This record gives sequence, C-alpha cells and structure tokens, in this order.
Amino acid sequence: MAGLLTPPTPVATTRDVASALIGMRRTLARNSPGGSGTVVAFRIIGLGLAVATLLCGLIRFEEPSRSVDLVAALLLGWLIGWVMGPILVRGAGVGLRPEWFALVPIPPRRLATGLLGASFAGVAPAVTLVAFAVLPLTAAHFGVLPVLVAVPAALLELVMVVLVARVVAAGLAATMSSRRGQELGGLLMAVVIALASGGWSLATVIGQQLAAGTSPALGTALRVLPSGWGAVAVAAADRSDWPVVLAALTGLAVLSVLLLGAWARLLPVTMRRSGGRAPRAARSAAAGQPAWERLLPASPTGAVVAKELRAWRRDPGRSLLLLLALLISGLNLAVPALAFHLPAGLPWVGLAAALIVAMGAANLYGDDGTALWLTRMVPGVERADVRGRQAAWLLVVAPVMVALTVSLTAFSGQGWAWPWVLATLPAMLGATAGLGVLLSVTRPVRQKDPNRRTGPFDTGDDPNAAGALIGQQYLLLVLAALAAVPAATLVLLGGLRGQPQLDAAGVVVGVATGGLLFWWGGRVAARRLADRGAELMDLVHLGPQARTHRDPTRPPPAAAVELPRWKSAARNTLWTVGILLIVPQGLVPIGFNLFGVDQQVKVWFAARYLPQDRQTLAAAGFIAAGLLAIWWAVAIGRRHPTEEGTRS
Amino acid sequence: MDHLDPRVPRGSFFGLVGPNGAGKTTTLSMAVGLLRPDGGSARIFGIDVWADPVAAKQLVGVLPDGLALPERLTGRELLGYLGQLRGLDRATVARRAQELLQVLELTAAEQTLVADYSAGMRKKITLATALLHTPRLLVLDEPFEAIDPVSAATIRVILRRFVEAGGSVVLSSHVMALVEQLCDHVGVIANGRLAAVGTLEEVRGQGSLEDAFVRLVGARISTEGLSWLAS
Repeated sequence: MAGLLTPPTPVATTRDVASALIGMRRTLARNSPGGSGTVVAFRIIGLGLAVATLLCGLIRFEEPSRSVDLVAALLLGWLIGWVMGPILVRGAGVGLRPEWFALVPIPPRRLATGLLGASFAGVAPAVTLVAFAVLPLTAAHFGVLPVLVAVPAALLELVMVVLVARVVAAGLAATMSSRRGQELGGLLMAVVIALASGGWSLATVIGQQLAAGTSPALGTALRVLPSGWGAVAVAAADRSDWPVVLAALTGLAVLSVLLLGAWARLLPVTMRRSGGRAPRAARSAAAGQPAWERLLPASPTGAVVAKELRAWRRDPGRSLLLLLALLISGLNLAVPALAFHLPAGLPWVGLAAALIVAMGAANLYGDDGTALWLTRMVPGVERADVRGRQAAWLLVVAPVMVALTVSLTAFSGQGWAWPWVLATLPAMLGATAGLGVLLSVTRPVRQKDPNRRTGPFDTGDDPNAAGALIGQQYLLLVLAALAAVPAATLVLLGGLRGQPQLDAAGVVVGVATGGLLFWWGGRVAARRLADRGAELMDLVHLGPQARTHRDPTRPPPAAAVELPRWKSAARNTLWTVGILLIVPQGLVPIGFNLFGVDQQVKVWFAARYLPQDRQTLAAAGFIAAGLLAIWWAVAIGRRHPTEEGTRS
Repeated sequence: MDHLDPRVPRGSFFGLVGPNGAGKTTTLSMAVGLLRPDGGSARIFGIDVWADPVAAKQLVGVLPDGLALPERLTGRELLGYLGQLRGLDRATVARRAQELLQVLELTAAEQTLVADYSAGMRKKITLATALLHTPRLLVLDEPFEAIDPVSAATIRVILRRFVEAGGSVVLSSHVMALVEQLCDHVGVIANGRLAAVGTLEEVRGQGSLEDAFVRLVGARISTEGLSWLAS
C-alpha cells in the first residue's frame, strides 16, 4: 500500500448546495409518513387563510390610509404566523435541519443561501404568496403605477418573512443548546401557544381600534414594522412620492441581506448542538432539606410527594404548564371580560385554568418515561407511588386555582357566581387528581425519555405519539369538566327555583364528587400498577409494539397501517373545522346570550350578526354541523384499518 | 426469547455476552421482573419473580442500561428517596448514601441534578441505587460502559468483595476481556438463544473467550471492499 490517499473532494458551490438541498427537501416531503396528514391539513387551512387575506384587498375604504393600515396588519399577521408555525408544529414538518450538515464542509453563508432556496421549494411560501397578492390587489384601487410597485414589494416581503422565521428558529435552537436556554425557549413557546389560543382577544381589541381609526399610534406602529413597508411603498406610489417608494423597497432588500447574514452566523451555533442532550451544566439545586419537607411523613408516600414537589420546583416543563394554563385562561376570559366590560367572565378564569392544567396530569407515567423501572424494582410501593403523585398534584395546583377563583370572583362583584365556583372547582380538582393517575396507568403514551429531551415541550419526533398525547389530554379535560356536572346541575336548579339550600347541596356534592374520584381513581390505578406494571413498563419503554419488538428471533413488526395522505388531511381538517364550529361559533355565542353580553360584541362569532331571536338557533346549528364534522373525522380514522384488514 | 435457561449458581460471578441486539438486555429484564416473558418463569434463589415479586425484589439489586431516573433529584436526594421508599430508616439511608457517593466519587457533583449527569455518572448513581438495600444478587446491564478507568477499578473491587462475601453477580457486556477477567461463569447469547453456558473454562476451551465467542455466534470478519478508501 502506497500510503497516499486520493485528494479530498472539493468544496461545493452555492449552486450545488442549493440544488442538493432542494432535492433533499423534495425527497423528504415525498417520504414523510404519518405527519404528512397534519401538514396537508395545515396547508389547507393556510390556503383558506391566504384566500381570505387576498379577499380583504377588495374592501374599498373612503380613506386610502385605512387600506394601508389593513394590509400592513394582515402582513404582520402572516409574519407572526411564520414565526410561530415552526414552534407549534415541531416534528410534524418536513424542513431540513441545519444540524444534519454540521460535518459537511460548506461555508455557513453558502449553507444559509442553500437552505433559503430549499425553504422556497415548499408549499408554505406559495400559499403565503397567494396571501401577499393582497398588496397588488389593494394597489389596483389606486392605479397602474402602484400595482407595478406592489409586485416587487410583495415578493420582497415574502423573502423577508421567510428569513425572519428562519432567523428566529435558528436563534431559538442556539439558545436551546444550554439547559437555561431551554427553559427560556420553553417560556417563549408557552407564550406563543397561549397567543395562538387566546390571541384573538388581543387581535379583536386591535382590530376594533383599527376599524374605528381611533388610534393613530397603532397605524404608525404597523407602518414602522418591516411587514408594513410594502404597504407604505404602495401608498407612496399613489402619492408619486418616489423617494419613499425607493426607501421602502430598498429597506426590505437590505433587511433581507442582513437577515441572511444573521442566519449564517447563527447556523454554526445551531449545528454545534450534539445529539439532543443538553451539555452538562453545574446547577445549584437546593442544598440541604427545605423546611416543608420535614412536614411530610417519613413514609414511602411521603418520599414520593417530596420527589414530585422537587420536580415541580425544578422542572420548567411543569411550571410552564401552570403558566400556560393561566395565560390561556387569562387571554380567553380575563382580557375580554375587562376589555368588553363583562365582569361575569371573571369568576370562571380559575376554573378554566384548572381544566387546562388538568391536561398535564393525563400522562404522568409516560412523562417520566422509563424511570418507572425504579418503582418496579422496589417491592410493594405501587400504592405509595400513586397516592404520592395525587397528593403532590393537589398540593401544587389546588392552592393556585382556589386563590385565583376566590380573588377574581370577589373582585368581579358577581355574588351569584359563588355557589357555581364553590361547587364545581373541588369536583374538577379531585377528578383531575383521581382520573389523571388512572388514565396515566391505563393508557400511557410513550414519550422521549426525560434525560433525552431538548426542552420542556419536547415530546419526541413521533407525530402519532404527539397526537395520542393530545387526545389523552383532551379526554382528561372533558372528564374533569363532566365531573362538575352533577354539582352544577344542583346549583342551576337552586338558581331557577330560588332555593339556596340547593346551592348548598351543590357545593357538598361538588366536594364529595371530587373526593370520591380522587379516592377511587387512585385505588384502581394503584391496583393496576401492581398487577400490570410489567406491561406498563413495556409500553413506556418500547411503545405499543413492544411484544414483537423485543424479540430478535422474530422479524421486525410491519409498519403500522397509515392513513393515506388525503384521508389523514381530511380527518385533521374536519377536526379543526368541527372544533371551530362547536366552540367559537356555537358555545361562545350561546354563552354570551345566557350572560346577557352586549349585542355590539360580535367579533368573528357569526351568529352574533343575526337578529337576536335567531342567534341561539344559528349557534345550535353550528354545534350540530361541528358534531357532524367530528363524527365524520372519527369515522375516517375508524374505517381505515378494517379496510386494510379485509384486503390482506 | 426462545427457551433460554441460564442457571446462575449461588455465589458466582456470571457474565452474559452476545452481539448487539442478541437479547442480553431483554433476558436480564425478564429475569428481574421488569419485562414479562411470554412463557416460562424466572427464579431468584428459588423465588418465582412473577408469583412472589415482593420477596424476589427484596433480594435483588438492578442496574438497567439506558433507562431514565427521577431526573430532577440530586444523587443524594435520589438515594434518600429510594431508601425511604424501601422503608429503611433515615439515619441508615443517610449513612449509606454518604458512603456510596464517596466510594463512587459522586460527592463533587453534590449540587448537580441527575438530569445533568454524564453517562458515566448515571451508571454510577444507578449502581448506588442497586446497592443501597444490601441485595444478595446484583443484576448489572453493561455496568462498565462509559465509566472512567479509575471508577471502573473501584467498581470491580466492590463487585469482587460482594461475591467473596457470598453475594452473586450477573452482568452483561460485549467486552470479552472484561468478562474473562472478572467472571467465573459465562453464558453466550446469540439470536435470542443460549449458545453456550458454563464455567469460564468450559466455554472458552483452549483459546480465548473472544475466539470462542466468534465461533459460537458464527460471525465472519469481513476483509473485502472499500478499495477506494486506501488507494
């Protein structure tokens, strides 16, 4: 052997990189399994939103500046959507991850350019371009020259929006490479999720201000942000103010170049992240024994409670869950209650938060992952483990929710609400702690092991598991809400008949329901954990296909039956449409009418635009249509495996 | 697993070897009652693991490979939690935890949560959880993987003393030299079957354990291809 190796391959050009990455992205999109249904559903919803945005361009305002405001606001909405999208649907997308290219010798700037090219190969930019066509459409009201300005403006806005999204994602990934950064990123994600669910209240307040034209500061803010520069250019073209046109368009181009540079600088940091585990960091855990711990009994149950309370204190995933529940509940109830002067909404803030936080109790054993082995290897501790978890949950969650409910009910001055909240809150809290452990033991959803997670909301890359987890969480939410029905019925009767003793009975029944479910759920869960602990261990360790998986003498299991892409997309779209029809279009208007909310509050609740006597009927119709959509979605999922079964 | 019947004699140091994916981890998990076998049984000192799990689990200490722990506890807190869970009194737990942390050189990481431990530290703290309740049988899955040489030497001493005092150790490994050096009994697993079992001398015969292993597993060492790499 001569010992002389062939010279290494030369470095790829930008063109090579871009075409390789675009090809890779296309291949990934083609090969993407299960998750693709979700992605297709997102695309359908996105296209709907894009067409709606485009149609806004047909609105004619008396005053041209108002249409500039509107377009700027719409583009800002899309910018926010682009930034939030990747955070919300991590794992389900088919994007290229920069860390895959960490060992390929490509200069960062070239890689960033190539990745940008690959970004445009997807469907999302095309959908966004449809939305951004609102710019030329609006410009058509003004004349030919503004349209000629609007076309490059829309394209530049698109490039800018995609780059902002990439830079934010890369920045987040870079931050997430340390544990403290992960906690920060988790906080950001919690805010994004809360805004996605409750941002409508803020958007409504902004929209009303915009429609009324009462807030010049808002208009200025919308124009100053880069998402408004395209609209500014169009308006300036209408006034033949060419320096401003030039400044706005050049500004967008320069900003894009700067963003590309920023991305190229962030990429190496992102790529340094190794294998998912955060680097080791000295972290000061509380030294010694805190005072509260000495109050716990020196029993196995006491040990579990102490361990769980420590986890609440140290695991940002848990504190963020609590924060998330408070934010979502606050944005959906407290903000509208204050903004639209509806004090009747305030007593429910704590109840809603209690229901949302219940979602965190739906998969306690799955969340701990394979750490279950430790409980399995200590003889006879199943009861202590279950009861300890239940007690710790209540010790943390109940005081917060009780304090919130009592203080807001008192603050709102809604005396009638007291029996309602006092009857329902204990039922919900007890049901969560009881049924949560029961669900966690009977139907655990396998998650990435806690020591391999890259952040508080990292549930792994398996879209099926993510879907199963969400289903489980909603199930517990619904069960906890149902647990409050008997108590609430008594209070309702008490109110209708004017019998305060029924109110009191409702409170007693609420407390009893909660206590009973806490006791019963824990009892059954402990027994099941003892009897079927090995199967549970199998599930959290290897997932649902454990039995065949672990035996090397058998062939690997056949891939699970996947829904065809369009069916999966149809199912997800039907679910979304169904929930939208039932909750905001059905239940909310009915609730508004029940509580006598001002008829001027219409927002996007279609029924509110009808004459008052027909509103409830229309809302009921929406609920029926929503139920139909969900029934159809479930039917699609159900029917599929049997079809496969008969074929084979 | 297919009719696997490795009998581990009392007071022996038993090494389970096999290629990747042969089923070492599964066998050990079934033996201690972490996984339920489709058929057959597992006994620890004559106690059926599935019929009387409480009695069996009192006798055994386990170090599984690659499983999670209660991540938001420090090493000392983890041992304290486990001791209390096992019904040991606080003073005993505190004393044993201190000794274990010292011997396994984990006292420097006093303030570090298990979540932030390195792979080697995780092995060591898990070994500590296996030793805390003075078991009579230790079942260790790849105990020396990712462990630094000094700690590995310490652990070898601990295990030898444990066997000398009448305890039994079962460990799995794919490092033949280590098994040859430590164990007096060996079992070779291949494709979910027990290819050979017995004393070290019986299994390896005249050659080294590695030769015996390659022969038993039926592997062929590839020497062809990749000509461009060395051209």
